[in-house]
Amino acid sequence: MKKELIKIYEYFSHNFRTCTSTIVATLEALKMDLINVNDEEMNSVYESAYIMDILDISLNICIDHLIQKEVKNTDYELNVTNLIKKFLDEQKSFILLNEVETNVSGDDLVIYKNGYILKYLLQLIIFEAIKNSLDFLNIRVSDKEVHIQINNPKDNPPVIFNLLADIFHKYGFKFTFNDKEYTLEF
Amino acid sequence: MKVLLADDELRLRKVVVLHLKKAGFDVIEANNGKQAIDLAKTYNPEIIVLDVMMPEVDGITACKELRKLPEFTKTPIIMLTAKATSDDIEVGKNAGANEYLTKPFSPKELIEKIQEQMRNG
Repeated sequence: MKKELIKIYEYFSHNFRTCTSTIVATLEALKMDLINVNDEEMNSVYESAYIMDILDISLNICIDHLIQKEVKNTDYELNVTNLIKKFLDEQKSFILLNEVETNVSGDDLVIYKNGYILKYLLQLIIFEAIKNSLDFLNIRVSDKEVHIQINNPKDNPPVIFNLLADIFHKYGFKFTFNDKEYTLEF
Repeated sequence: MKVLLADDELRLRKVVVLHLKKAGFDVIEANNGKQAIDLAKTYNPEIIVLDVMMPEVDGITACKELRKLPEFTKTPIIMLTAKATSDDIEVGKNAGANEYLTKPFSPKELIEKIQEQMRNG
C-alpha cells in the first residue's frame, strides 16, 4: 500500500502543480498585457481548471480504493460517446497546441452502472492519451468497449494506469493498455 | 541572451516563453531532455531551464549529461519542476543544477532567478 500511495502522490501532485503553474503563468501574462482576455492562451486557464476537477475526483476514487472504502451512489445513466466528445471539446486548445488530430467513431454507448467511476477515470485516460500522442488519436466506441489508439506515442502509459485497471476491475470494467492502445471493456 | 527552455507541458511552456521574450531573452524550446541536449549543443545557450519529468530523457539525466560536456560545465542550469519534496530538491542539486524552482511558480520569479544566475556567472 505504501508504494501505491507514493505512486498516487507523485502522479497527482505533478499534474496539480502543472495545472496550477499554467493558470498562474497565464494570468500573470494577462496582468502584464502580454495577452488579452479573448486570446487563445486564456483557454489554458479554463482547460487546466477542468482537468483539476477530474484529477481531484480521480484522486478521491484512488484513495477510497486503497483504503477499501466503497464509493456510494455511483450508478447513473452515462452516455459514454457524448462524454468523450464533450471532453475533447473542453480540451480543444490543448489538443491543438499538442498538434494531435483526434477522431471519435462509433455509435452512442450508454451505461447505467458505476457511471460515476467511469466518467472521471475515462476522462483521465483520454487526457493521458492526448498528452502521450505525437500526431493522431483514434477513439472507437462500440457496444462493448472504448478503444483508444495512439499513433506514434511519446512515452509509456503512466504507472498509475495499473491502479486504474484494478479500480475498473472492482467496478465491473476491464481496462487493458500498452503504449499504443488503451482498451476499456464493459 | 539565449535561454534554452525544456518542458513537455506545452500549455505551460508556451506562456512561459511569452514572459521570457518580454524580458528580452531569445528562447530555444525543447520537448524533452534528449532534445534539450541536442539543442544545447547546436545553439550553445547562456542559461538552461529544465523540467524534471519529461519523456525519453528526464531533466535530471539531461542535467547530468550536459554537465559532462566541457562547454556546459559552468552554464547555469535551473530545474523547473512539480517535484517539490526536500528529497527531490537534493536530487536536482546533486545532478548539477544551480537552482531548483518548484511548480507552481511565478514567471517573474523564474526571470529573477535567471537574472541572478547571469549576475553570478
